[in-house]
Amino acid sequence: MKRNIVLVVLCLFALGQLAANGTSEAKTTEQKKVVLTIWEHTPQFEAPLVKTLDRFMALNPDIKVEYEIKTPDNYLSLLTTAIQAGEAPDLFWQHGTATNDMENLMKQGALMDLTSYLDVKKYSAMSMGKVTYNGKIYQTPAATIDTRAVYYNKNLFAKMGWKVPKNFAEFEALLPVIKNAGIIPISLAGRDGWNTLFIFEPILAATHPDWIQEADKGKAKIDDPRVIDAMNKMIDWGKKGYYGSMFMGVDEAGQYLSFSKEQAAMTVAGSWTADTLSKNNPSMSIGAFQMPTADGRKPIVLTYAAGFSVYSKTAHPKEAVRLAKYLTTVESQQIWVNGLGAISGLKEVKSGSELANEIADANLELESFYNIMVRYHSPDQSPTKIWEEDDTKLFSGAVDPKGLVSSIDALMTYPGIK
Amino acid sequence: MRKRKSYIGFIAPGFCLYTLFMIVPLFVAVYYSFFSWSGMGEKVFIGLGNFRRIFLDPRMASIFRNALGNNFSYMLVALFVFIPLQILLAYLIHIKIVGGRAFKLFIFLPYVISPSIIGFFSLLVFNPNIGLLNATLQSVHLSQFAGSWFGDVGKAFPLLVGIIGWQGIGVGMVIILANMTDIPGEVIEASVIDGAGLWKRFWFVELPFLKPSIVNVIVLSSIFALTQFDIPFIVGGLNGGINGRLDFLNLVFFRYTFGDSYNGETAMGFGASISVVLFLIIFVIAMAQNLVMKRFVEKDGNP
Repeated sequence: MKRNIVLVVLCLFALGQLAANGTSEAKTTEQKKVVLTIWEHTPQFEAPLVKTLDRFMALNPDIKVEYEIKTPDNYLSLLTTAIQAGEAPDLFWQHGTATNDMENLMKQGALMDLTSYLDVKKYSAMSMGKVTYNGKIYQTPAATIDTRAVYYNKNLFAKMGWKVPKNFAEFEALLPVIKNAGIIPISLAGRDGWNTLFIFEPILAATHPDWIQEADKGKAKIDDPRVIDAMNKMIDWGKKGYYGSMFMGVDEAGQYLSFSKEQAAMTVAGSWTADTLSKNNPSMSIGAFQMPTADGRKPIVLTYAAGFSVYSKTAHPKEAVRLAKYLTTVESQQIWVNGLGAISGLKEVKSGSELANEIADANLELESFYNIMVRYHSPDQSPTKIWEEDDTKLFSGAVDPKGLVSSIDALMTYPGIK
Repeated sequence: MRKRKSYIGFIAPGFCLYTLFMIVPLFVAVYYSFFSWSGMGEKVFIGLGNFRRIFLDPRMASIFRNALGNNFSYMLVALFVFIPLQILLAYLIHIKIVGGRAFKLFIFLPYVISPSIIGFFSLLVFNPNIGLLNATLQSVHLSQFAGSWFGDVGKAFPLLVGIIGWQGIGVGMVIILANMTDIPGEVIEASVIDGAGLWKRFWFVELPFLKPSIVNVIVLSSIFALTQFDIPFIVGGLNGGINGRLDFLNLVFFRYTFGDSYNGETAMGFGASISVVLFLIIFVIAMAQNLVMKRFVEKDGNP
């Protein structure tokens, strides 16, 4: 009996050892992995990020990447604080040259120079301009193009017999028709600065594309009458009730929800919202088009997206660079474009979504008004700050277009104008 | 000797923690306020440059004045509307009106909800297109009263003040009510025997007893008014709502210090100078109130 008990105990001990060995082997493998952390600034990009990282980890079993999704409201302050504390993530998203972020981060020595590591031959000059400062690459380029688009409810348009406008006059004529049908023509968040920018830029592109082309080269000033005219058009539509009679109290969520609830026939928003709009409204047939010019051209305000920077003081520079290299590959960009339903800016990467193709249906590529302010700001001046604080005041009349552009113009330097 | 110094052991932990987390950051903020500094890298000493920008730069001074004006407007409402209302509500509960306990619960309940949640619900109620309020008004054929609420220059501020008041009015009420229940019963009885009615009893007997709690509520309300952030930020956005009607000093501080993905700049040095000015304003007001109230209480005698 005693012998049996001893045998059973020995067997149990042996089994325990085997199990423990198995676990410790698994633990050892897990411990060998280098853990990288990456930060993204908005939940809208979580889906493509997860898919991209999953693929990277499958290809690189010795690296585990943990991601953190922040919100745009506090992203920059979190990032700055983390960098200041020396605890920044190994890789992080930032705006690139679209704002002053890259310049500031680079000057503080927070960004690793990726010039010698990344294969960027496939990327366009415009895309690389977003991630390059003083000839050095500080961020992975992105194949996705960020633009603005007029989203419309296809079913509602078909039911009411409305047609997608072919020129600006048709577009403008459609607005009162929709309003008279008791529907808000364009859902707009008059409370939020970004949303105001995203409707202003297409209006400017449709009404005065020539100004953008000149300003892009630093040959036209911000206080040009053509800019004022576009602003007045945007304000005028508000006064006529084309954004709804109460749009000044609407925030970004309210803008999209109003469109989703079919209170509005159209909404003007960024191309990155296409996937969110489609997924949140599976029963709605959503289409998109670019606001046309008077002569029927289809201008598209292009801003290339920017990818991820590597923290200069990362504890794992080799692995972080490996991830940055992967994020630059065509495969990675294809995963991202598919995950976001985005527009591709690389011929090797195909847009998988019909909606993205509709957004990209354009024949006149133009620079963003905001980017022009960033590019030609005077040293140590921030004209975008004035725009950011005052653009929504255009609707309430607290600021008039002439006053706003004069304030911005005072902080600009135009290389093409003597 | 040993016994006499034993108090140091009791004071030391609190003193050290308070110094470390309150006094030191205060002096650090004052130090930073003399620099141009984004929060990273080199600090450039600019003397009083940040303060000059706050008060003398036409654009910045206008933003600062507007925000400070909103803080003061809210403080005046808190002092002259909310506090009398808190006294009245506390009195109604004290005299045991019908349903007083439920009444007390309902008034205090919003305070236990996070300001962020209150702000979020406010958006759900007051969103012009999809909000509950306009939908209800339209469903009962009162659409002429529907509005853009926080998008209306005239309505945004009163609406915000109403929401903050609804959330926080219970706190002062409870403090005052606690003071009321401490009033000696024999004093009240004597006043009743002397023929004092409800109003006279309140005004001449009970109100003087409430001075300590009212003084506290005045100081707390003033500090609360000058440090508004959460709800204005959620309902009005970082730029302070329509025409800056919902802009408060703390929002200006946050906007310029930390930025966000839209306001894409950080300026720790300038932000520190805003926080120093804000601290001085609060300090001066709190000290002045304390001085005035102390004299007021001492003059009439503290019961």
